[in-house]
Amino acid sequence: MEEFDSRSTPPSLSTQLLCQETEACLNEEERAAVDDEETFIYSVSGIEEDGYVQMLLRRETHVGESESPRASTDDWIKCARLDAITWILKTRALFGFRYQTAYLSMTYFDRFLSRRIIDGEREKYWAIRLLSLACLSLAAKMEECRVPALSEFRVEEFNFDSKVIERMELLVLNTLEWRMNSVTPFAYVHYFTAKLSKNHTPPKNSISKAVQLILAMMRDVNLMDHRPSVIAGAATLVALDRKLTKQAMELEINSLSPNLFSELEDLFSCYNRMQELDMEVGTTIESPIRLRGMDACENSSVISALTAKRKMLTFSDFDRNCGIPEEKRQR
Amino acid sequence: MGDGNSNSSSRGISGSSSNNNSNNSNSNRPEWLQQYDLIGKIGEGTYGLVFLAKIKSNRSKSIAIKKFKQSKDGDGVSPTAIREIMLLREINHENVVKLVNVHINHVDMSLYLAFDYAEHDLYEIIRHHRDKVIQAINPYTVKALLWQLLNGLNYLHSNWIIHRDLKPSNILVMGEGEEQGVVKIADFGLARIYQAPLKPLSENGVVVTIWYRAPELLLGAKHYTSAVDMWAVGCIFAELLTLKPLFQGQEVKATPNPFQLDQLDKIFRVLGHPTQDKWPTLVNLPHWQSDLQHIQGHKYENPGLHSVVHLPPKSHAYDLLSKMLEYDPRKRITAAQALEHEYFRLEPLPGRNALVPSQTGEKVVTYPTRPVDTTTDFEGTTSLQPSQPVSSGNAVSGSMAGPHVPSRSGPRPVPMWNESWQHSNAKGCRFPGSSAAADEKERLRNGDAWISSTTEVETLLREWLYSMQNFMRGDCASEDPHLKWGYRRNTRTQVQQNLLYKRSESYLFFLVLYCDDPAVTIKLSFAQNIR
Repeated sequence: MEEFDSRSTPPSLSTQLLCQETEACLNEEERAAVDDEETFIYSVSGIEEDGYVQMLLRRETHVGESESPRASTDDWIKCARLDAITWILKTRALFGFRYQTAYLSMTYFDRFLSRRIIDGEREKYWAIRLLSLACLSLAAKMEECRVPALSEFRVEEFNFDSKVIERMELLVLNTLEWRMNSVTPFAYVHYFTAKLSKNHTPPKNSISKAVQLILAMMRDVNLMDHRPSVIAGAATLVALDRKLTKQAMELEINSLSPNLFSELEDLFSCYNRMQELDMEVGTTIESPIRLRGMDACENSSVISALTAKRKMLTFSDFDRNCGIPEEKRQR
Repeated sequence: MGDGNSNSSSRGISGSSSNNNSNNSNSNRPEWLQQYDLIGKIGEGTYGLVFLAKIKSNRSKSIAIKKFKQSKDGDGVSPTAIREIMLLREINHENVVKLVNVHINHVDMSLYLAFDYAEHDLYEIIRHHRDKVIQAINPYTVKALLWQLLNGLNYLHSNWIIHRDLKPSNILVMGEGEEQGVVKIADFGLARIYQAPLKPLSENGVVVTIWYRAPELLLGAKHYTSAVDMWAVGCIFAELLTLKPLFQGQEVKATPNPFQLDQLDKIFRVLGHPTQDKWPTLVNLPHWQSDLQHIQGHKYENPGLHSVVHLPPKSHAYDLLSKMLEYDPRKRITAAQALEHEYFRLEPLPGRNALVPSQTGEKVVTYPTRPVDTTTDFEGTTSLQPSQPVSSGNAVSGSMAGPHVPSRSGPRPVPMWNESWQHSNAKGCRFPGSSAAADEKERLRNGDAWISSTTEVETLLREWLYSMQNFMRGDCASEDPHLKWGYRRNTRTQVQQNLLYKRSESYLFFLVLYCDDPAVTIKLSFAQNIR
């Protein structure tokens, strides 16, 4: 029914853009994902997708330059992070957001915490909640067609005023210097699946499996530790069920597109970690995904947040020149 | 401005209760605003307002400040604002407007975007030729404008950005200065990057002019491609040639996404009926099927595009134009292809300064500067003429040759946060619908002119006013950071600098402090010979 059917896209379209308005780029239902796989496989070989992926990779590097991941050794932060992911995935399901919206909100979350420290024994619990809420709301505004009103978001322990949430949104935007357009691994999954399966039909459900692996990885590591393309590449390789040695993987990757992955080491460690995750959680991963480490948090700090008093955030550095330092603009 | 006789409307000159309200907002002026001198409002749209300002530290630099309308309560930061800022942060190209800064007013959480200011836009240039010059835009300028527009668009498209709202008023052209005549694509409120979700335009709550809308969108296509921008460029190209919109349809105002029959009708009249032969996917478009009786029942004569745009059918310009106005979006020329078109390889070759041809002999048209509405402040209110001055008679006004300043009594609100109201460029300034225009002319004839104040003058004034404020504040010096320059909340003291006036070699400043009670209005003035 659509005018621009991807299957019949002529090569001359290579410089034209295709924005999808109705279809979710990534369907959450497995059945839908399979349909998606079938339709997608035919269209990925064009120059168009190569150009698109090149653009994504360029964009990744740009974002990478300005970020400097800080090792979050703090156990409290780790727990709070898992807690945030649980809430985000739950809320995602509630509103029917796409997975990449949830993932994107976690990249905001991690980037925010790499630049700002939340402290104060009492404040930090609600601050983390508020941060998760603001990140998810912002991600929804970037990715979703229908964005819920702030009051529709439910956070169990706290009742945040929408003005407070808006303030937090602004603080996040400001802290991330308005660079909200982070690339997520989901953008690569179809492309990699098609490329790596080399014109053979990929195993059933491989795309949705890759998606689940990416979500599992989101819990496991700080999202700034790996480039999105690396996570997507590793997830796709695991999903395609290749038992690869490092050398084999190198061959595989280089045949795909030279210089696509500059960090083979990183890809391989990601690949190995995902295989472990795959063993742990099995092939069907229900969200929210329960992984080791969560239980440790259950009875500790997160619960004590219940007693934390609500308090207004103060943003002292709020109306300074927001997030565009002179030197960084000269890109 | 200035002498204040211009608008004696009593709007805003009200009792002290409303006074307090306006004080509240003014006293909360954040510090970042102080780096600018507000000149006035230059634009208004669904997104909010646009102001012209100067950077105090660099008076030669003009800035356009776009204030986003406050988001609906409960929605948080508007998605449009986030997307526009996010896109602009990533864009860096000579032919795309440059975002200089983003400011947040933390009091009401409104957003202000600061851009490099461009004096002209294609809407005004076209209008000037149509209504004032009564002559076509010279071929060099048309070609240079079009080339730069395509150059910027090619950059956007290769970064997977679709503008979606190209029209003459969004295509800016730089005024006098180092970048004179350089085209800047502006207004990315509707732009989208790659696969970000797209709502139909009508659901975004925005009104986009339909004159530049591509036929596939008019027929209900759900997918946008970069080809929609190229259609708009075609329409703009034709408008540059003929000085009037190519397809001027009557818009159907209904939601959501109404069928724009009249717009399609206007297109078909010029380009003829689209056929499935030329546009195979036509039959798949929602409106094509649902409105059989309307469109397909109507038979259009094909008068030919060339006769409408007065171009020889064999010319390169015509060839390029018709390729931009190709019905089938897949066959429509891309920005990259258009830049390679023969039209741009022939004399006159397109140059960087579109307004001034490099070849001599061509008459250079001087375009008017942008109209500035100096009666609107950053809040978007027009409650008071900045100039209400206040002082009657006395030494101050007595020393002026300017028009008489009427005296006023009663409390007056001072809605302006900014301290100076001088024009950046008195010569070309127009004041549409304002009686100030006449006064301005009058004054210019008298040999006086508003000054573009120097940093020195600024500093002097600021220091002086500051000390006066301290004085007026008396014992209640507070920590309120906004008090430094502005108005104090809920006090009786208001400060306004009314005039910055130049006469002969000396600069004369008037600063008037006044209280709610006119009896204690203190009028002060001083003069300083700068040279």
